[in-house]
Amino acid sequence: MPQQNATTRPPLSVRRMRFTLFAVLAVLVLLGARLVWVQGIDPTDAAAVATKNRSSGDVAIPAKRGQIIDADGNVLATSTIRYDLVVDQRQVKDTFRRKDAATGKIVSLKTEDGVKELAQVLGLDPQAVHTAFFGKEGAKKKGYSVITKNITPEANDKAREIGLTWLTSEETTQRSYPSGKLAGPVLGFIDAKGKGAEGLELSQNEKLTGKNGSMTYERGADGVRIPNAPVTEEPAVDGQSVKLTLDSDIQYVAQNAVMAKQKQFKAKWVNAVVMDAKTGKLLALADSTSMDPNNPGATDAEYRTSTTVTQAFEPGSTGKIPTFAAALDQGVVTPESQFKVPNAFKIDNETINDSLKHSTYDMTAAGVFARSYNTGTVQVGDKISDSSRYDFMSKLGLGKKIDVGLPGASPGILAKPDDWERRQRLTTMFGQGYTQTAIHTASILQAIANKGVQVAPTLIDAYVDADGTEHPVEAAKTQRVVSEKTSSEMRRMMETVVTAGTSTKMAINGYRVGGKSGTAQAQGEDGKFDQHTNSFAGMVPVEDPRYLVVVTMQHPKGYWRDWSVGDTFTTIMSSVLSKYSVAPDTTKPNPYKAFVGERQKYAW
Amino acid sequence: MSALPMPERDLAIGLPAQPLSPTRTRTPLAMVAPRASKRRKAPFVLLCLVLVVGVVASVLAMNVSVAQTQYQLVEMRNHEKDLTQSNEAMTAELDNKKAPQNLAAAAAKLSMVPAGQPGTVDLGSGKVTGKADAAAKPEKQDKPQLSQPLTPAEQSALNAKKQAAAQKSTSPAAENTTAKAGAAAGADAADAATGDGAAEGTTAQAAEAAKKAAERGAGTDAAASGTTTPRNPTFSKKELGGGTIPAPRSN
Repeated sequence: MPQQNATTRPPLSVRRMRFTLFAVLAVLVLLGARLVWVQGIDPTDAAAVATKNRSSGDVAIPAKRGQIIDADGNVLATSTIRYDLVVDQRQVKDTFRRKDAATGKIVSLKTEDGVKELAQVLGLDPQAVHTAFFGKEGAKKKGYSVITKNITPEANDKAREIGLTWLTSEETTQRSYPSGKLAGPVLGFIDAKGKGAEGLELSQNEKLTGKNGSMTYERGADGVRIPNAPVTEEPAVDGQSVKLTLDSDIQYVAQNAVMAKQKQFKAKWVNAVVMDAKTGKLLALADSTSMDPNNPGATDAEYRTSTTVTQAFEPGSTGKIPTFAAALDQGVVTPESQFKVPNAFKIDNETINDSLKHSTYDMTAAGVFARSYNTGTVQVGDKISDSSRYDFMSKLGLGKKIDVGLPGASPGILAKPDDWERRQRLTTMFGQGYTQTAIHTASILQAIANKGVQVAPTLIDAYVDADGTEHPVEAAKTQRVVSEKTSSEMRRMMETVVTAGTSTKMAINGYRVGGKSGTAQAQGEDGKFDQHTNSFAGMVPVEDPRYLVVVTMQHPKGYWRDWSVGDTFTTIMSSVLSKYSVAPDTTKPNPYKAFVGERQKYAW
Repeated sequence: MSALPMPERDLAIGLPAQPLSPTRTRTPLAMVAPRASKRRKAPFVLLCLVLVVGVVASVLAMNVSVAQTQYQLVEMRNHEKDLTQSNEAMTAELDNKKAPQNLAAAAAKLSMVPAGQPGTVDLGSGKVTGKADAAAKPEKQDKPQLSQPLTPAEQSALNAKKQAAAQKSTSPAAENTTAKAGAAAGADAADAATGDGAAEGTTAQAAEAAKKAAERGAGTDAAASGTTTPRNPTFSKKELGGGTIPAPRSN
């Protein structure tokens, strides 16, 4: 070894090694210091920033809107997955690459051709798609341009397969009504934001809308989710489904029948209410003009709700039911009480007329009811006080809204007896001078049918969770309005209406039918009282009624003696009796005698 | 050196100098040949190399496995979504066929008629009440008033048509003015088709047009084709977020 000489420098190789060593040590020291700083001296700040960068933030998990189903579980309204196609115009390039299906190779294609293909696949106007994709000539490029909305998942797949990667599919939901116009006005529809705008969609919006969930997870800078990192997830609570009492089959028959009737007499509208007489459950609410909730704009706003709850009218002769029931219940009259019935009757300086000129007859109260003579009715009604009659009518629900869960329900108008002027106290005896809706008629009839116990009408049966758990609504309110004896007498009188009175067309072969018809004077659009409302309310079987049907026809045209909703009633009632297997009556009809004495056949 | 070497060592430490005995000879000094290798460093270097390679490889393997599982997860979620959507499409078709209007129309096509009046048999007494009538073809076949709802395919075709009409009316293309009028009329006819008692001609026409549009493109038959095989998912740039696999979502 050469002798060490203190004055000569170490060789280059050694100097290089030492320099490298010092450099590495310096860097290590710096890193060590930073480590000490981050971990030991300022741990929370740096860690917090890092967590914030990693965290995805709150990602909303949308809740699914509940369905609306009928009594048998058929779906009337449901939400389906749809897609909106959007594109960021700023990102679009002239060519794009995709795997050619035939050769399996990656080919480069012109975006213009791809866009043409897209328009063809979706069935849209190629020019419009081109504008949406590339932007207008000379205009600023948009970051969010909508190509099309609400396409099905299959269409979305086809669109994606074209391979335009700048195209984003945004998932959205669309409300779909598989049965179209069936019970359309009852179901309602939703607005563009997905909130109920009319009908049950509106009134049940809170129950139908669930609660959105949220999720936070951690992802790296490249967007890949970090496994094993903490994830907070609050699951979405899907909306509850609303189960109705409606029967789709009966609803169909009823809607068909009222539409035919409306055409026959060119009426403004015809509606029908079908109700279970014992439980008050509504089997059908049918309108002659129904909206299709899939396309609500195509129908007038007036018919986007059900006329059965929104349209009030003067009931006419069906309004004789409360008058006679009150008189019978108070015991001032029996069905066989005798009256002299002229065709014009003067009372309190007011003359009450019947619709047809007839000679003066000696009739029973049942006969007056069956032939619907106003002159006889005011004699019956005069036997009870106005205030007691008003109280009874009020108890039956007149003048108050009947809430079955449909918005826009009309309470009708029933003035207080103190406000009744001289004529009005008489006209209210035979159903003029106050207004009510078709569902009021049904509810009054139901009380008489159910042996005097009125059960509040129900449309909504239960709420069903997403997992299938049913929550029935609380039981409907009941109240006794007349005694059982009165109910039985009223029903026998109603049978007389069908066997010997105004409603012989409403008979159904094999069954005992009871009911009351009505032809009321109505105010037309021009304000003149030259229109009419024709209706019939019937129950079957009359001895122990199970179902009732109310048909109301508003403003029919033509000669009034031609008007009849009999066939509508029999069509609907027959289908109800058939579907629910109601056995034909084994007993013969048992009407009252309409006229005093042996002779019953008299001219009208 | 003298003939008899004097042990310098003895002199140095103060021992009396004594000449070495003639029998004791000094090993002649000789150069020691250097060893072929100084020390065995190979195992250490090898160990370092192995460690480094091993660590890198294991990290790589972990990442690959994570990415693979993530991809699998995304694929399975997409498969689930596919199945949910085809299920939904089939349910929509079923619900449409179950609509009472469609059932009635299908029954009429099969020449079915409403039943006649049934009689009732009292099982206790064996008595028959009511006169049982045979089902008879009604003289005047009433066409049902209530219009049939559009099938899902027809609905989406109508949707596309409406959008096309709306887009045409906003885009100022000169050559499309005539097409615009035609499309608007088409959309109106399609709207009228959903109205009831519309003349049979327009209803059939619009339904035909809707069916044709449906067959051509939007919304046909992944449902009708039976089971859908999972296809390779394609993702948009936004979903990928600069990476290669999108973050899986809970829905």
